[in-house]
Amino acid sequence: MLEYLNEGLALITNLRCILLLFGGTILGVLFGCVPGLTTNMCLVVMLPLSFTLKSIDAISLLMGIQVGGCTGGLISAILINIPGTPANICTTFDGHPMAKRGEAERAINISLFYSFLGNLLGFAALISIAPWLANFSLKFGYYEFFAIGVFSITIISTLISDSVLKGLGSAALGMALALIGTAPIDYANRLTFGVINLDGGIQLITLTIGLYAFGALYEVAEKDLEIERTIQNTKRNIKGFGISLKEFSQQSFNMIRSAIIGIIIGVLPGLGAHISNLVAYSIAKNQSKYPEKYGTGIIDGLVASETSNNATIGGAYIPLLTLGIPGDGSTALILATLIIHGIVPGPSLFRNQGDIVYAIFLLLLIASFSMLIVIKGLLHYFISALSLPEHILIPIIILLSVVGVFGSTKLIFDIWLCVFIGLLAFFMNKVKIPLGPLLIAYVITPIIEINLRRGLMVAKNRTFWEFFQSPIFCVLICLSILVATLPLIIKIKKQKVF
Amino acid sequence: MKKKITLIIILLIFSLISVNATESSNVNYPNRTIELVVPGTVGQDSDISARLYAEELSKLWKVPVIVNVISNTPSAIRLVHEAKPDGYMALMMNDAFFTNVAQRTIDFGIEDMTLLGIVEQSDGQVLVSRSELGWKNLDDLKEACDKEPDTYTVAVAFGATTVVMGKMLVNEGIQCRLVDSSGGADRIASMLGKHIDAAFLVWSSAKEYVENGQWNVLCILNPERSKVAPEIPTAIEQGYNAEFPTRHFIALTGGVNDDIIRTWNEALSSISNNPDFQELMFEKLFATACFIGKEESLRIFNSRQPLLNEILGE
Repeated sequence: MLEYLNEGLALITNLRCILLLFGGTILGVLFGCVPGLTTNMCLVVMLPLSFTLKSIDAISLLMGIQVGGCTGGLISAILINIPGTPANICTTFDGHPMAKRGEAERAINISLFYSFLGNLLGFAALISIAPWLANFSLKFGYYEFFAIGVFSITIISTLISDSVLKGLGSAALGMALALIGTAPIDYANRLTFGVINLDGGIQLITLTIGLYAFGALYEVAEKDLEIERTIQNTKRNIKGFGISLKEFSQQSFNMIRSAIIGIIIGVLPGLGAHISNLVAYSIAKNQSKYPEKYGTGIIDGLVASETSNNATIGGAYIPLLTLGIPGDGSTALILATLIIHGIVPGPSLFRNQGDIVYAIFLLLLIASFSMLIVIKGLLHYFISALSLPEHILIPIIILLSVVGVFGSTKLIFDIWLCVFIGLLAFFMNKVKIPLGPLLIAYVITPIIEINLRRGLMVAKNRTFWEFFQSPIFCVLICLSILVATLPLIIKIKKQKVF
Repeated sequence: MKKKITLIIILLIFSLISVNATESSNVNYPNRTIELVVPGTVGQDSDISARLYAEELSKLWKVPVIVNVISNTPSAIRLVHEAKPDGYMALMMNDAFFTNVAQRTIDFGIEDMTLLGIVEQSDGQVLVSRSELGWKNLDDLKEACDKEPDTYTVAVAFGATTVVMGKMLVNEGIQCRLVDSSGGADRIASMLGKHIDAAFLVWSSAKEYVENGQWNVLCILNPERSKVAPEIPTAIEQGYNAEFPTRHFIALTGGVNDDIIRTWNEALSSISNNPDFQELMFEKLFATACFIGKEESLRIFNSRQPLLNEILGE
């Protein structure tokens, strides 16, 4: 192991490699913090360049982008209430309320700090228990993934704040939106109304930008002439990371729990940081002694969201390096790069190219530090740029978002779809229907659907009862029932249902 | 209030126009970014193959050639089919196009597009099974399936080429159960997790697990033994009429003008016949880069379509 570590260190200790890692981090942060531009888009743009580089240099560049992108999204989530990437959706819940009361810099610092710790914990899992976690992830088949989906969708109940009916309505709408397009397996067209551009369904990026960026646009347009700034009287020059030792100690359990959630979701193929931040936030809220404070601007929400999404990166590398199975979309792009550079991830990678494996470990560690340095260094510029009056800032954001959505989907149709979804978000906000359940249901529904259908294909006699043969399935379903019913019963007892 | 709304509307219209403007110029083809649409999942062999071609095309034409991987196969095909006939969007995929025609998930055929030609030929996939099941060849699989029909699961991707391979074996009397999976990585995970019993995979993905004894390889679906893995017997050798080598082609939407077609053909021919590129393709993907022109490619594909219609038509 030490021999490989030395060889890995020798591979990456050159100026070009480190500069590429830093350059990648800066690019990732910029792509991450602009709504509409995603980490994967940046990776795709830089892939051709990576082919011309030496393998380790290419990996440095792409890992910098991946780590920077996942963290960069927190900046716009906090400052303008629009998640830079889907991995930062829950960061908006408490980050933006903090920004609105003048704590933008503190919120970013705390999020950055916990992103860094999330990366480190993911890294720790990668170097210490990767083979065990990889084998654990293999126990998850169609039944278990279906149960994960059900469990994740039940967390919607924790995000329902005012009215149960409105929350469930929002979730039902999210599910309906997720069903639009060509169905998996049999490729039947559903809810497309003959519109060819809807065949591929509504993309997550289009939905996120529509709900948050365009929704915000209509709200600004509705306001009177008074000029409102997105961030009021931001307190500057925060010492350290804006968190006291006492607060850090209070958040340690939340941090470790969120990191574990992030790592596990990262390890499971097909999921990713856009799901881990939702699950971690909801569980944190569910287990909190003061769940009513979530969404009002408390650091607990930031800790859960940012620790989990960054821990997912380390988790996603575990099946990639040990089995050759990418954990999420970003690592799938890294897999393509590795293969093109003649590195074939799988069980023998540790044996045959141990130096590369340890170089990747070390790069992930250095990328965490570079992300910390880059965002800390650019923080004042971000806050200044995003402190413009809303009626100037939001149209600029819309312009960038439109470019981002077109870059992702290559369809003008999707921009018009954003315009329409924005209107939907505007009216939902007017009648106080929460957007969170819609987004969660949209993300989770395809996981539930495809794994239910595939599970039934595998099951003996093709019956659902076969699913209960799996202990993991049973545990997750019991947990789902528990999570779903307890808060609802409490709510129904305490409040009016309608 | 009115001023603000006007400003917002102007910005919105400007952004839409600026995006549209990039689509209008078409002088000195190619003079802007070309998009190579690949149905499937990122990181799989089609994606890597397309990226290798995109890189060479980009060098040759001095314009960016980007790969856009779309997981929903019919949507990806329709996207190119509906594109403007300006040569800036191309489809690169394998025989799965024709399985989609047979399964009627698209309502047009290759004749409605501008087929440029076949650019890569690959071996058929190998059928691997979990070693603890003790199957060494197709006869063992058949015997097990005869004893317990519709019990043993074989992972394929519905809508892709592996479903044809699976149905070919079913048509040969092997009563296994075909199960849908997303792609190679998904099939590997399901095999390692023992959620399925057998799967079709490209040899480069399966090789390591076969060599370390976790899986047995039952056959390769080639007309003759592969040059890459000559030790693997074909299904035909074992008495089962099943072979399905795959070919990647590049096509544009219908109605593209001859100058654009000529530019593409010259580029693809020059890249595919370059020995260094051929070596690269073989090294990375165990595939043969080649350029087979439109007429011959059509003949190859059309000769296969009736079989696909028969196997998948229902």
